[in-house]
Order: sequence, then C-alpha cells, then structure tokens
Amino acid sequence: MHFNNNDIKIISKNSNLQNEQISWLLDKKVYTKPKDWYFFLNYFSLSIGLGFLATGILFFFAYNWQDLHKFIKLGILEFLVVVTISAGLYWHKKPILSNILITVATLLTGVLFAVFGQIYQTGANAYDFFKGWTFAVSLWVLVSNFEPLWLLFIALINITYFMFTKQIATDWSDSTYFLILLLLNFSVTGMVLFLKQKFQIATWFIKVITAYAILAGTIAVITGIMHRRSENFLFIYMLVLGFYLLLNWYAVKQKNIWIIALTLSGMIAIFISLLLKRAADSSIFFLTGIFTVISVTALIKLILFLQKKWYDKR
Amino acid sequence: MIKDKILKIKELFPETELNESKIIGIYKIEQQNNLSVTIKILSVFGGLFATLAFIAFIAISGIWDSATALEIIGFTIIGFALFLHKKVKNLLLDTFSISAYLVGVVLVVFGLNSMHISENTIIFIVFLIGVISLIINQSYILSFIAFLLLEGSVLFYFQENHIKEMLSVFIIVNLILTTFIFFNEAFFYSLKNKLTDLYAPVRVAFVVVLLFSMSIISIKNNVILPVLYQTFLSLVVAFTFLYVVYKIAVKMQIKDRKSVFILVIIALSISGIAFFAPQIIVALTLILLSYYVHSKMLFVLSILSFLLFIGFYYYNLDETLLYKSIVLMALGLLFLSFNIFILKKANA
Repeated sequence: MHFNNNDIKIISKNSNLQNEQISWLLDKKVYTKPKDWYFFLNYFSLSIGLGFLATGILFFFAYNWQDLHKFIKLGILEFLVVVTISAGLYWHKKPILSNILITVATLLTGVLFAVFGQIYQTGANAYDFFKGWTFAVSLWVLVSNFEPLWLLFIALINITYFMFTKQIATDWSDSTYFLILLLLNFSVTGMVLFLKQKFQIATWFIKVITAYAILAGTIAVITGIMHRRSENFLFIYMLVLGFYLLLNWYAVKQKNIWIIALTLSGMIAIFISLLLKRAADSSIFFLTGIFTVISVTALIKLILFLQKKWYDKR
Repeated sequence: MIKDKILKIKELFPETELNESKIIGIYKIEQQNNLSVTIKILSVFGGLFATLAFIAFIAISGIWDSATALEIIGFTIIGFALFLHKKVKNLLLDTFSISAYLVGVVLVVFGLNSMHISENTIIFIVFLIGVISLIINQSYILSFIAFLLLEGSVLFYFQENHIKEMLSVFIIVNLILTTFIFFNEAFFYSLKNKLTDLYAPVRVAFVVVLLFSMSIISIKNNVILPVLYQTFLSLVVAFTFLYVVYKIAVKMQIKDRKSVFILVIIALSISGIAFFAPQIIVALTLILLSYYVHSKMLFVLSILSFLLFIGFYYYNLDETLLYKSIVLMALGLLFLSFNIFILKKANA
C-alpha cells in the first residue's frame, strides 16, 4: 500500500494516532527506503563526480587554449566528434546511450564551427554560423529517433531563420517575418501530429511543439493588433484562426486537453489585447481584470468537464 | 482507494480510532479538486494577470490618490480573500482569491506609504498581515504566500535598516528551523491543530526562503558579511550538513567501522566547502532533506539551485582557469571516491 504525506496528515488529524505511530508510518511508508538511498547516492555522486571531472578537464584545456596550435584546437574537436559518432554507431543496440552520444556530437559540431570561424576569421556572421550548423547535423537528426535532438534541430532552424531576418533580409516587414515563421512552425506541428499516428513519439515533445506553435501564433496576432499597420496582418489572422480550428478539430478527435487549453488561453490573450488596445480610461483595466478571472475560471471548468468526460470512464 | 488505506492503518494499529466518514469526505473534496499541472499553471497566471489589471485600474482611476480609500479597500479585499477561501472549499476560486489577496496587500502597502508612515511600521504591518493570515486560513497556496510575506518582511527590515550582518543570523535560524521541520513531520501531524495543515506549505516556503537568502549572499560583492558572522554561518551550515548525513547514515544502517571511517572523512571534506561557498552546502543539504522525505518538487528545486550556485560560484571566482580546473577535478574525484565506497557497500 502506497501512502503519501498528505494521506498520513489527513488520517492522523482524524484519528487518535500518536506521535510515535505517525513517525513509524512516515518512516516506513512515505520516506525514502535504505535501498533507494543506495540507488540515489550512487547515481548522484557518479553524475556529480563525472560532471565535475569533465568540467575540470574542459577548464584545463580552456586555460591553455590561447597557446594551443590551431591544428590541435581543431584536431581535438574533430577527434571528439568522430569518437562520439563512432561510439554512437557502435552502441546502436542501446538506443538511449547512442542517441545521447549523437546529441553530444551535434552540440560539438556547433563548437567546431565556432572555433573554425574564430581561427580563420571567415567573416561569416551569426546567420552563416547557424545555417552551417543546421545543415551539417540534419542527416544525424533524420536518422536518429530521439526527441531532444529533434527539439534542438527545430530550435536551430528557428534561430537560423531569426538571424536571417536580422542580418540578411533586413528590409522585410513584420508581417512577412511572422508569416514565414508561422508557416514554418505550423507545418512542423502538422508533420509531427501526422507522424504521431505512425510512430511512437514522446508526449512531452508533442506538448512542447504544439505549445511553441500556438505561442508563436498568439504573439503574431497580438503584434498585429498592436501594430500601427494592422491591416497588413489580415492574412496572418486568418492563418492563425484556421490553424487553431484545425488543431481543435484534431484535439477533440484525439481527446487532447493540452491543445484545447492552450488554444483557448491564446484566444483569451488575444481578446485581452483587443480590450487593452482600446484603453481610453481606467474602466478598461477593471473590465480586463474581471474578464481574466471569468474566462480563466470558465476555461478551468471546461478542462475539468473534459477530463471527467474523456478520462473518467473507468 | 482511500478505503484500502484506512483498512491498512487499522490492520497496522488495531486499537486506533478513526473518524472514517470525515476522512472519506475530505478525500472526496480533494478528488473533485484534483487538478492537473495545466490547470494549476493556468490559475496562477490568470490570477497574476488579473492582479496586474486591477492594480492598473486602481492606479489610473484616481483611487490611488486617497490613502484612506486604499487602506479601506486593501484590508477589505484581504479579509474577503481569506474568509472566502476558508468558507468555499473549491479550488476554482483559487485564481480569484489569490489575486484578490495580492491586490489587497499591494494596496495596503502603497496606502501606508502615501500616508508617510515610517518604513519600519509598514514592514511590521506586512509581518502582522502574514501572521494573521496564517491564523485565519491554512489552505495551501494562501498560507505559502502569507509565510513568504512574513519572512520577506523580516528580510526587508534588515535591508532597510542596513543591518546586513543580521542576514547571517536570519539564514542560521531558518536553516535550523528547516532541518527541525523536515525531521519532525510526525510531531506536527500529532498536534492535530492548525499547525498540522500549515506544515506542507510552510515547509515549501522555508526552502524557498533559504534558497533565496543564500542566493543573495552568493552574488558577488552584494552582501559582504563581517568575518565573525561569515565564519559562524559557515560553521552552522557545515554542522547542519553533517547532522543530515548522520541521520541518513543511521537510516542506511552503515555500521561497520571501516565504512563509518571513510564516510566521516568524505563528509568532513565536503562540509569544508561551507567555508568557501556556504550556499552550495545549503543546497546540498536541501537535496538530501527533500530526498529523505520523498518530496519530488523540493528535490527538483534544490537540485536546480545546487547547479546554479555552483555555476555562479565558479563564474565569479577571481582565480585562473587552471586553479578552477584543479579544484573541480579534485571535487569530482571526491564524489567519485564516495561513489566507489557506496558501490562496494551495495555489492557486498
């Protein structure tokens, strides 16, 4: 029988259990057992110890970095990339280890590009750096079946695009910037949700991806509302509305409360920004406060209702 | 589910009297309000945003100009929030009562400020609000916030009166109280009064306060404590760490002479870090304590602050990379030697 401390609290408050009995219950039923202590201390000291040791070695190289020949600098990094990738291939029967090694190699590739740029002063800007990094690792990302690496890759694509608009396409309007950003992330979300039906994909990954797409859509719409040339964003409004509707259709079909909660929160935020745009006097702020309390409460009620309807069949 | 638990308790302690209908009733309410993380985040953010909107309304509408009006509205809202939350056992009202409570406190503080009342009196009034809230209402989030108000006002008092050395006394008292609270959960439950309900939120608040006050002194040149206070603080931190290690060793039944000897040496060398960076040892102590009582949330919180404190400490250290590298490698070897010792024990 598994107890938590809330159980013990409620039971001891409504019984005549004495201090020693409660103490015994907590000690035997709630607190960590000696066996788990060995497990925890083993992994904790191992990861802390190895982590410190690795950082110490890293600092040691960093201390001597200035004096190292450029051949050695690049050599160390390339050697590490080759070693991690080969180790990843060698242990391909242990998927977690192999995937972590490939992810480490992906990160090292970024460091390698940075050091290369520093040594040869290639004159490349941040956009070129992220573009090179993204393209160089895309093959590993494709073959690996590892959500953290995919997330890193999607982040890299987004950063590359952001750098592109900051450094190359400086004359783009805000609406064009958001339009392409949304098309990019909406299609990624669509693809992930489509692939989910064929393959096993971790739930947290789907949550992060959908949350990011919905957040980007909401920010785009709010920027449009607050923008001095709101009419340019008309297409974005329609795109986001269509995306929200599609997502909700999918969520109802798949019984996915996360998506419904997020899109509705996005709608609440958009509505509040509409209210605040018309803020002429203090009453709007009062209305906003009231609206927030009521809409959030209604949304929570809806989520509870859906939870009961969809999951409480047992 | 709960009926099984009651049966188990009866089986373990046959002569115990349980108020079964009441326990089942409490579980029914808890189950109805069993909220997912999504809902908790929503209600917290909704509450915060609504608070901001109401404060903006009050600031613009002109109520702000009348200190008396601010006081009356502020205290009314605080009282309303506390009693509403007590009467209606419905977590849906969390959003509303928490935002109302925070708005009330902000209004009272600003009202007092525009009445030109001395800062120490304002701090004392906030402290009193915290204490009275804890006496009236013992629900989780409200008592958590009220306890933070109480502790925060003490911290603010030292800050305002430029008695920064009291910060070390504050940390020492908090550290000892936290350790006491962690090891005496059963005592608080056996009291069967308001303290029983306050136990869980106050424990979380204690950890948050400790981590916050340690982060104040871990920022470089932020607070420079007098040497005596600094040494005393480090000593208490080191001894608390050793005491927690001792408690765990008792629990793990480490008895044979050789293991005890190695454990003492390693624990002493780790506790020595307290004289350079007490914040790291406090975080380590909290990691052990939260793992001891099996609290996932506090465990994650203390692991994160442990890593942050270490990162900040090394970032701020005015030494060459070579020195940092050697210290890090030595620490790594220390933890690894501990690991080898533990592994050997587990296999034996």
